Amino acid sequence: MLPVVIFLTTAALGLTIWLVVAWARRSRKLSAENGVPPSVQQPAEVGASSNSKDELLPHSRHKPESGSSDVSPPETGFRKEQAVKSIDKPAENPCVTLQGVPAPAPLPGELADFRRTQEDGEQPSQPDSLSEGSSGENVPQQTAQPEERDVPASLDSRGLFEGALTTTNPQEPKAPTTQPASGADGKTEASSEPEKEGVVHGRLTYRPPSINPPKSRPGARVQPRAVQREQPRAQSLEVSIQAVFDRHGFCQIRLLGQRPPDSAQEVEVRSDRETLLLSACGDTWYEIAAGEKLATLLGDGFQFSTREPVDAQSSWRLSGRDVYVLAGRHGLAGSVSTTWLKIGRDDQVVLCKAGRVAEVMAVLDQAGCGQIEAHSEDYGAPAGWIFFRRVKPLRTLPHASGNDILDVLRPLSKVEIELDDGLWLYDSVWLSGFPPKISVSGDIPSHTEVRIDDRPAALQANGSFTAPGWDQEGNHMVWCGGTQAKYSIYSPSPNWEPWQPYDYFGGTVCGAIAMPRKADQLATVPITNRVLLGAKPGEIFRCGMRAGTEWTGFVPFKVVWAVPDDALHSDRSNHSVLLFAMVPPNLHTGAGKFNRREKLAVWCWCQSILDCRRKGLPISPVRSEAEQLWRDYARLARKMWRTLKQHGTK
Amino acid sequence: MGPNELLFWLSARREGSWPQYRSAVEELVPEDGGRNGKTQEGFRLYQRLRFNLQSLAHVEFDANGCEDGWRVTPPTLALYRQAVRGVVGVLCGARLPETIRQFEHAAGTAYERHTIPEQPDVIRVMAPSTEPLMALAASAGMRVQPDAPTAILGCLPHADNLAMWGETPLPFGKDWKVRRFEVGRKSHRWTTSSVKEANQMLDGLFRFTRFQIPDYFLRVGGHTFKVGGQAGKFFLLAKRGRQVLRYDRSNQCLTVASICRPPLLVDRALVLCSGYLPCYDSAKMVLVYREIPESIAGLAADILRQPGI
Repeated sequence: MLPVVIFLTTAALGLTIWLVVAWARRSRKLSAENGVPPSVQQPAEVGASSNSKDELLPHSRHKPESGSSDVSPPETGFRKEQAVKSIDKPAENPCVTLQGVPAPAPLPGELADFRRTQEDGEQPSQPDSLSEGSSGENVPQQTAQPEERDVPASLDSRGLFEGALTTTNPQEPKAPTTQPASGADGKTEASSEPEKEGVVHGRLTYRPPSINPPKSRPGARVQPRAVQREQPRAQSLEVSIQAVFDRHGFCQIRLLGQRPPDSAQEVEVRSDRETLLLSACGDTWYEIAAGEKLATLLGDGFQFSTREPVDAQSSWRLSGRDVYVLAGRHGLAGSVSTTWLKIGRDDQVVLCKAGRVAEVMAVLDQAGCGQIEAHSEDYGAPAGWIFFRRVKPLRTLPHASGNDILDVLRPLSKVEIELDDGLWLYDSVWLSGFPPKISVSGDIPSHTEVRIDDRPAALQANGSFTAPGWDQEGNHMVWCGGTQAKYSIYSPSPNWEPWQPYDYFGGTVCGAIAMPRKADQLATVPITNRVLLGAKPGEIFRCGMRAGTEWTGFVPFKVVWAVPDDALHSDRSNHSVLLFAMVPPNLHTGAGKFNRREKLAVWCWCQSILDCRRKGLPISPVRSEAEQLWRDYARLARKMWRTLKQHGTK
Repeated sequence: MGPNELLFWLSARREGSWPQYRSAVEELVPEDGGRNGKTQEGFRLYQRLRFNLQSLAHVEFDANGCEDGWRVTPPTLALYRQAVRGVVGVLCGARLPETIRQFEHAAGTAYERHTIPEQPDVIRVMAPSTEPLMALAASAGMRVQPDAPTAILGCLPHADNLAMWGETPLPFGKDWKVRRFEVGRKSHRWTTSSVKEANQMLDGLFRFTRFQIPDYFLRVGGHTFKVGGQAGKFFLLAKRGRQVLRYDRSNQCLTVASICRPPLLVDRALVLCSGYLPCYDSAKMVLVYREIPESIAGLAADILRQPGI
């Protein structure tokens, strides 16, 4: 009996395993056909009716229009154009087949690109395709907005489109597929009309039903491409190359990216493969942390973008070149990339690839730069690059025909007014006392004079131009050969107000200005007389122990007397009672109204005076008024001491 | 161009952001590349200039009213009476070319100007009493602070007063570089630590650094206070009874271990006694403040809770 049972059990188990394996194979085969992983396919099958309905309904609403060839012309045309522009291979995209053109299923790569585009925040190529991925509960809501026409589509918070669909007259009878039919019906409709609904069928093949809740995209708004183009799109920002030299001639070359106003101090940017950090360098520039990639970036160029949506994205782009010209620029240290070499300037730097050094040196020699030394990596140049420092051409050169990069080394004859040096503050404003050095480069036509504020300017020994009043406060204008430049000399207001950068309980400090809040008095006393007494009974302060001969500190009352710490045991020949101020004792003591702490202070005040009297310490300075004052204090101390003794000190 | 022009530039702009300041330093003050732009402590030129400008009371950095930035203080003549020279006035705060010209013209012969690397020129005036200097400052449109070192020290809390520091939880996470201030018998140093150790220890000073920005946390009986780095050190030194201040009465020099430089405002008060920044003795690794009267040394020691000077 037992073998039979075992045999039957084994057989049943084997059959079960075989069935499971067969079912799994079938599922895998189905998913392979549809391009959907089994894990996604399974739930789709379970909820097939609703999912089919979801995908079909948006297009079903177009059925009366798309069934005939003249489908809502403006919008359909727009969608087609949109799809063509947004997807790499529009001909293969089923979205293009809105007008009934059959299309093959998209390649996986296209799908991936399309999704990436969506994730990056770009608008989808076709609004309907996004609504397919949404849950079906919202479809009836969409159909309930029949009057909307030519309204830019937008996504609601659940990722659904609102408004973009051109709808038919609400009075028109709806096609059967527009009904929010039960799942079984929907599925049948979709499968029964594959030719008419070719687009829908195509989508079904590459749009798996979503098993995830729709992504929330608050604020996302899809607009027609034409409208979007009119709006300010991504900012394209300038990139400059900066060369800073130390006094030993070592050069530090770095990349600077233009900084938009009110932007963050640090920004992370990315290109295709890498991520870089931009750190603020002043108000208008970012420093690009290129590191060892600097040489490659200079030669090949780059484009970095922020991680924001495309519409708000800032991007920095540098076209790779073999030769760069750098010169001084206000607000930046060292030399910064510029258009081309100019005559007369001595702060210019030429940075070129090592392979083009001979050509560069030949052109510079033609421009009259003389013997200039090439500096390599030993002096801080990026790997494979060479720089020339203090390049000062003396003559203009004709530009070569074509697009020769070496033209940037051939100075133009165009007259340009240069404002250098001085203490530049901002824009074209210099600090009074540090005006700019005015120089003119290029070929100045004969009989052409340089004028500053409409006065003829004189050429100085250092090559700069000056005229009467050229460095005075106010606006100035330089003119030469039809070219003009403006600058201002600014003298800041001499009015300053302190504020409270450091605010403590004891007072505030601003620079060297201190504003004590306490009414403490500064006192310096010999270290032998560490007990300080005020005019009012209870005003007693014991100085801390300190090395040296005197103690300085703040005391919370006006000091009248300084007495030894332990008067009864002090040496009468060395110690005395010191008078600091001729202030009579305060008789309004309010005896009997002291709290415990005040009583103790009054007791100590009285005791200190009486101990000195008992010891017979001399008064210093020796004056009759001082002795009389001391007697008054002693009388008051005795009186207070008796009063406290009667009431008890505790 | 140099630190003087930098101060002119800062004074003309009056206030600004930290990147602005860094950019201005790069443009106006050429860096000495011989030391790769860094001191032994690893500070770049713009940081060294910042410390000097702060100590000399020209500019406030990252304080109330200039958070994450800087602001130039009003031009002030900080006065202090010295035993030998009479009253000495040190020119602090904003400087503009025209103001300096007027001041120089009015000061006459009692005027001193010393050029020192990595700081604006030290400008001092001397007089037998306070009144002529007050009149001089008024003629140049400046403020006067009589007895400046004492006045500043009079506003400051003691080093062991934790009331001004807020209690806060310790940071957590893996990105922090944590170091602990170790108070030794004769020398003190930063040692490597961890977030875990900082949480476990009941007392100690910890430096949490992330993105090169340090934050200091003082653990006292299991409670954590976010403190200034130097204030935290002197709190610990006071608690352990360690003496790091030394005063030479004959030469009027106050010496302190360089790792225990006093907090900013105590440092400023000591600097304003002479107008000169402390000298660094690399052999002994100490800072030496000169022309410090005994009373000021005593006050500073009292605030820092270093009684045995």
